[in-house]
Amino acid sequence: MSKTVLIVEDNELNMKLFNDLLEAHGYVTVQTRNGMEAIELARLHRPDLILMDIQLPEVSGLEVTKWIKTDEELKHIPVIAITAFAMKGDEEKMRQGGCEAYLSKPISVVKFLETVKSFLGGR
Amino acid sequence: MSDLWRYREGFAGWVHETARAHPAESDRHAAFFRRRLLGALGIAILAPPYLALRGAPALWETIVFLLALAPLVSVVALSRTGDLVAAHALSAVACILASLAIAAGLGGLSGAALIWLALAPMEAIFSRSSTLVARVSAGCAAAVALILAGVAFGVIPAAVDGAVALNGVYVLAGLASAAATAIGLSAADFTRARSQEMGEARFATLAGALGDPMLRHDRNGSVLYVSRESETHFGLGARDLNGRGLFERIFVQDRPAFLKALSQASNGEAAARAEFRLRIGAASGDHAAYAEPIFRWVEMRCRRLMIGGHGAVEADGACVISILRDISREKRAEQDREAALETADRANASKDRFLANLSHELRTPLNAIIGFSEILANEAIMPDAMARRREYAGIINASGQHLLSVVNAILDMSKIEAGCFEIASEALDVAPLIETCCDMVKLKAEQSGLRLLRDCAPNLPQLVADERACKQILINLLSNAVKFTPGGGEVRVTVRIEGRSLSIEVADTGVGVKQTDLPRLGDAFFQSAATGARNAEGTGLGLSVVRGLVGLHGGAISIASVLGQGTCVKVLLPIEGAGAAGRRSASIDVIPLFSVPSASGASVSRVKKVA
Repeated sequence: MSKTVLIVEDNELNMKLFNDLLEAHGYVTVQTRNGMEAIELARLHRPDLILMDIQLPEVSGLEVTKWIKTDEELKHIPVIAITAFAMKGDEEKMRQGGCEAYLSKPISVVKFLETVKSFLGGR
Repeated sequence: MSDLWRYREGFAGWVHETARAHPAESDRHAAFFRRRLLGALGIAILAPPYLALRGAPALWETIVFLLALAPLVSVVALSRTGDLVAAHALSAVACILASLAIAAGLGGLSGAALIWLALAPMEAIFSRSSTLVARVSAGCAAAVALILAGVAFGVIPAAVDGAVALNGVYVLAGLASAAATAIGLSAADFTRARSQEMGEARFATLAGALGDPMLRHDRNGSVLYVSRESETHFGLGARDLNGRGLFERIFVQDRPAFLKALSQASNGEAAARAEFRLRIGAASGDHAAYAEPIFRWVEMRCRRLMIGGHGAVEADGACVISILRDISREKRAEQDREAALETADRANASKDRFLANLSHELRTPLNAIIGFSEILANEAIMPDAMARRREYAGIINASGQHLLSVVNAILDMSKIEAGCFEIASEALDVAPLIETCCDMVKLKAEQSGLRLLRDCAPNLPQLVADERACKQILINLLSNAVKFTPGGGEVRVTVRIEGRSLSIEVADTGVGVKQTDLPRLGDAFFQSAATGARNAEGTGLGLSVVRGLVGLHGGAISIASVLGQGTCVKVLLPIEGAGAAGRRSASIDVIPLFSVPSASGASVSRVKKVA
C-alpha cells in the first residue's frame, strides 16, 4: 500500500512542485493551504509524513507542528518543515518546535526526495 | 611678658594630650596657663615690698599668700588631668577663700573682700560650664552670708581702723586681677570670632575655587549657609534655599533620595551622593503669574563635618557640608543617547525583518523555478507527457516574472530612497489607466472570491504624470487591498476630481490596520502585524513605493482604517503635474475615524455593512 503524505503549503506553485514530485514517486498526497485544516486532515487520513510550510495564513506552521506534537494520536507522524525564511537560528527554532527535519527553499529536488525517503523508505 | 604672650607654643608641651587634638581646646588650656603664671609672677614681684612695709604677716595674710599659690597648683593639675573645669573650680574656690581671709583681716564690709568675691564667678565663666558658674555663684552667696553673719556676731570686724591704705592695696590687687581676667575674656572672644571668620572665609574661598555651590546643613537637612556660587549657577541665593527652601524646591519624587543621602552623610563618615531635580525660578509662594516650573538635574555630594575623627557640630548647628553640581546637560545627553539607541534598535529590527521577508519573497518563486527546472533537467524524474513539461516551463516563467516584480519593487524603492527616480510626465487618459490596473489584479481578486468595483467620474480631464509610476501606485494599492481582504469582501476604486487634484481612493473590507501601526505605515520595510502571524505576501515595500512615487508627483496620501473592518487609502495627484512641488516622499496623513468618506461614499465604519 502506498504511503500518504500530507502537504501543508500556501503557495500554489510550490504545492504543485511537491505534489508532482511525490506522486511521480508513487506516494499519495493530501493537500491543504491552511494550518487549521491540516490538523483535521491529519486525523482523517493518518498520513505517514507531513510536509509543513512554516509561513501559512492565519496560523504559522510552527504552531501547527507544536499542536501535532502534543496530540497523542498524531505525534508519531514525522514532520518535515519547509521554509523560505532561511535566516540564522531558524533551523534551531523549527527543531525546538518538534520538527523531525528541516528543508529551506529553494529545495534541491534530489535532497528533497532523499529526505522524504529516509522517513518513508522506498516504494 | 610679651614673649610669653607671643610664644604660646611654649605652653603647648604642658597641654594634656586629650586636649591636644583640638586646636580650640588646646588654645584654652594654654590661655589658662598663661593667666595663672602671669598672676603668680605679679604676686612674686609684689610680695617682697609688701612684706618689707608690713613686717611679719598676720594669720589672715599668711592664708592669703598660701591661697596665692593656688594658681600654680591648678596649672599642675590641669597639665596632669586635662580637666579645665576642675582647674577653674580650684581657682574660683581659692578666690572665695581669699575673700573670706581678707574679710577677717580688713573688715567684712571693706571693699577689698567683696572685689575678690566677685572675681570667683568671673573665673568660673572661663570654664564654659554653666554648672560651675552656678555653683561658684552659690558659693559666693554663702561666703557673703558668712561674712555678714560673722560681722553680726562680732567674729569678723565690720571695719578695721587704720587699714585704709592696706585696704586700698587689696582693692587695687583685686581690680588688677579683674582687669586681667576681663582682658583674657575679650581676647578669647576675639580669637574665637576671628577663627570663625577665618573658617567662613576659607569655606567661601574654597567654594569659589571649586566653582560649585557649597551648602551647610544641620542634622535635619535644613540649609544654614549657601555659597555665592549658587546664585551664579541656579539663580538661587541664600534667601531661596535657607532653611527648608532647598527641600521645597526639590522635585517631590526625588526628595527621598535627597533625605537618604543627607542622613547617610550625617550618620556615617563616608561621603554620600544623590541626584535630584531642583526647581529654579520664582518661589512657589510668590504671587507672580503661574509659570511652568523649570527643573534642573543636580548632583549633590555631602559629607559629615569631622574633627579629629569624630563627627562635629559647628556653633550654628551645621554638621553636614554639601556640594551641588548642575548635571542637566549630562542627563540630557544620556536621554538623547538612549533615544538614539532606541531608534537605531528599531531601525535595525525593521531591517532584520525586512531581510527575512525579502529572503522569503525571493526564495518562494526561486523554489518553483529551481524545483521544476531540476525536474525538467533530470531524465530520471522528467515526466513523459509533453503537456506536463510545457506546464512546468510555464510555471518557471511565471515564477521568474514574479521574481522580477519583487526585484523591481526593491529597485524602485532604493532609487526613490536615493533620490534618483526619474519622472517622465505626460498627459494621460485616466479611465483606461484605471481599467488596465484593475485588470491586472482581477484574476487574483476572483481567485480570492472578492468583488472588484470601479467607479470613475465621467469626463475626467487628462492627468499630467509618469505613466509607469501611476500604474505602480495603483497596482500596489490594489494588490494590497486584494491581499488583505478575505473572501466575500469587496475592493472598490473611486476616481474623482478634487479641486486641482485627481483623487484616487482604494477602499477594502479587509483586515484593517491597528491604530498604533497607522503612523508607521509606508515606512520602508514596515509591515503591520495586525493579524498576528506574518501571513501576507509582500516585502513591506508596496506602500513605501507608493509614498515615494506620490511624493515625486507632489501629491498627498491619506489613510483611514478600522481593525477587522477595512482600510481606505486616498491618493491625491495634481492634475497639471508636479511642477516644483515634487518631493522625495509624500507624508501620509492618518485620518481620524468616521470623518472621511470611504470609496463608496460611506464612512469607514459603514464599510462593514457593505461586506
